[in-house]
Amino acid sequence: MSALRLLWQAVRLQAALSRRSPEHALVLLIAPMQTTTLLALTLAAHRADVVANAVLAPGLIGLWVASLDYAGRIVTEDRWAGRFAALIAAPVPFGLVVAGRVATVVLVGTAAFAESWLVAALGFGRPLTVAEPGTFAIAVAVTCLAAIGTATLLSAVFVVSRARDVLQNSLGYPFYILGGILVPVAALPGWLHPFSRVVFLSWSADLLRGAVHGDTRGWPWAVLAVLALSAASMAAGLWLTRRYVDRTRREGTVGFS
Amino acid sequence: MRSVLRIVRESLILGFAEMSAVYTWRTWTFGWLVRLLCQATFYALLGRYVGDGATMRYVLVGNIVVLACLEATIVVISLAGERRIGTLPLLAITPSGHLPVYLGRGLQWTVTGLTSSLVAWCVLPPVLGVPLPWPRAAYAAPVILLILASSYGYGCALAGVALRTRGVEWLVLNLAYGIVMTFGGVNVPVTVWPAPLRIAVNVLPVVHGLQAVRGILDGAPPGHVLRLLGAEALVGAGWYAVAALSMERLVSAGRRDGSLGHAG
Amino acid sequence: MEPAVHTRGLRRTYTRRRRATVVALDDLTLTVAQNEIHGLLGPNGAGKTTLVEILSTVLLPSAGTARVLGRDVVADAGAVRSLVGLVLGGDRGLYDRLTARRNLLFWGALYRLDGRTARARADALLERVGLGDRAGDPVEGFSRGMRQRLHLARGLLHEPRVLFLDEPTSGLDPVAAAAFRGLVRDLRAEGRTFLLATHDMDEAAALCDRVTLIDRGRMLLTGDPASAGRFLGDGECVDLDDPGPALTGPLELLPGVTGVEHRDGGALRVHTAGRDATRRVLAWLLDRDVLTARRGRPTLEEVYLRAIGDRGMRV
Repeated sequence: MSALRLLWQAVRLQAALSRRSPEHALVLLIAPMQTTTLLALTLAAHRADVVANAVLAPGLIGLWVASLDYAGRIVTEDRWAGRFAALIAAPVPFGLVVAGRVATVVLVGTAAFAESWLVAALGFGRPLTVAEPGTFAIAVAVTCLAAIGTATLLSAVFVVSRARDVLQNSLGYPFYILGGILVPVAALPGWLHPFSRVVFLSWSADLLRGAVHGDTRGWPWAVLAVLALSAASMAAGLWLTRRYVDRTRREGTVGFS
Repeated sequence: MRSVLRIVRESLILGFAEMSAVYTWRTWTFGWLVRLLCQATFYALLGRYVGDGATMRYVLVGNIVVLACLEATIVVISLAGERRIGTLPLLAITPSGHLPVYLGRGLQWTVTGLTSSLVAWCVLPPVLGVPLPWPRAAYAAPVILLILASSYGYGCALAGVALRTRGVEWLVLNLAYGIVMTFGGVNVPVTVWPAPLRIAVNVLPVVHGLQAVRGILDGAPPGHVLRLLGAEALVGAGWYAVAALSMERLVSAGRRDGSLGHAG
Repeated sequence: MEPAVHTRGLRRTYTRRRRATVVALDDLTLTVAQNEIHGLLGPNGAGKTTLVEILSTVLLPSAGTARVLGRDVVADAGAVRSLVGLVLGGDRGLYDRLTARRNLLFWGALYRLDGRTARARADALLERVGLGDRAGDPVEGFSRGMRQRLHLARGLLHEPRVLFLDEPTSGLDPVAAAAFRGLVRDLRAEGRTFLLATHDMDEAAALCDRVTLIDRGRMLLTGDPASAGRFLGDGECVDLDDPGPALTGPLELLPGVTGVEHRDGGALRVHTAGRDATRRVLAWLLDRDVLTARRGRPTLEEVYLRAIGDRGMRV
């Protein structure tokens, strides 16, 4: 089977699964409400210059939630550990299956961007215009890649830790702060900066806002940083899952999720 | 009365037993509580970024108080579980009826909700550099309790919806809480909304209670605060009435059309 | 003495999607005497659960009346609820995170038992259903049989006089099912009445004083399981092991023989019109040196299969 076809099969599988369970629409439900909250706060403070932050943040949150959702719910629902053993034994590259399924979920996350834009345009009469569409498109693409990498890493962490619900609930807001998705990292206390810079959201948020405002100095470096972080998290995720499967094999608990 | 207290007690034991399946003391404190604190901090930081110290305090107070509502409405999830495990017909035919259990099934969330909003109330303002006027700020505690009670009624009423349709409990929960969070005067005063919306939000829990909290902090006259508390209590009572009616109908309709005994 | 259960002209319909009406119970008239174990037999979808749900006030009838110990299940539902216990089959209906004992205390509170009574009854019932050792364990680790026994204990908590059991032994292994039946017999000895919905013929034959066979919401027959054969007409039968083909033809022509049935392993069953015909067949066989013939009665299972017909897997 060609890599593309395999990828497509994984996308279709995930689309079919997501369609049947309404809770996967959660991201799409939250984004408009979040945009409304953030925009109202921004506009009530007469800060038209921060509108871009308020419109972009729900999209980034949507992506992050989608990644968490994939890692925390979808994978566990499918008794992933058991299937994983079968998958790495199969003659197809496992990474492609993961990527295909995550991609669908991440696509749902990116729909949050669109919703957010619509709320701003229709609800508040503030259609957001992008000064540098080319850079913006690149920024969105690498951000999606990073979300896929993050989802892979998180799914491994969730399975290994077995404290899925706790992690899934806890990994949201701390990262929204660290990721500077609304309040730029520069406005956070200095000691937080190093932590922020290992969260891909911080680079993505700066990049996206820069593209909207037309201030994209040093954007290739930011793109490289996002790419490096997504590669690192993907690699770490695959390494962790392999280690986990090896351990379950050794301890005879394959299929235990 | 004693039998009602016993039902409340048994429901709480059940609730905490189910909670302990997800959380230990440590994961609750460092996972869930920290998440809630971060949520309030996230919005407060935005408040400071777009405005000044006063904006930040406004947003922070709103986001701490609304935590009580967030937790109380989780009753939606607990109640939807009753259909999944198939206890609805058994509950319906007990002499106490289904109502005490329906109203008692999420009580553990009111206990944790009170804990987390009070912890946030004491910890976050000094940490974020917007201290509250103590000891006056202590009067907020009973108001938060009232908000918790009215939000719980709101959650129970919406649980009636979640019990009718399978698999929507998370959507209902997030919608219920999200509407309050967005339009309930948490981050921006309700006066910024267009007139129809401004009137409609009066039926939401939190709205009047939160105004009362802000009044207490700003040293508003007691009569004004008491009127707001009365309104919050009235809204809460209304939601309990809707909840009771909705669940009564769920059971009576279930007995008529046979949907009570099925898995949903 | 008034009957434990009495229904007259009971009918229940469901409106399903696209407004199609499904008749679950059709003009059912049934009487269950007090202190009886009454089996409710029928294939899936026959209306057994619907009947149990109506009698336990979970479901309202569409027409007709149903009374439990003289109380109407619609007009006097409150009184009926304190008289009846409902025991559902299967894995559902228990709180997995709670211990067996806490499950019972929870329901004790709902049945308005005071604390001391609830604790005493919970402990006694757990002992009685053989869960005394596991009372403090969460239900999530329980086997099917243990769950079923806990369901029974739950149903007995408020000491009901009439118990409705819906498929209580489905999915149990034979030992657990036998233990469960022993428990039901003991409880009957205390004066309780049981209405037991099942499709296990052996269980019905072994346990029930009387059985009622329903299909598509209609009653096909009711009576004691041992003489259920009578419902196939006043028939009896003679069983023969491998009589050889020479006998089959003449047997069919004997007076009073209503049919000859070939069975597994070459055996033959000769259906007769009654006692006299049976005697004639046995004498005729003795004359021909067939010494293995014996008088038989159709089993409950045969009655069931005959009455329900060869529907195979269709429901």
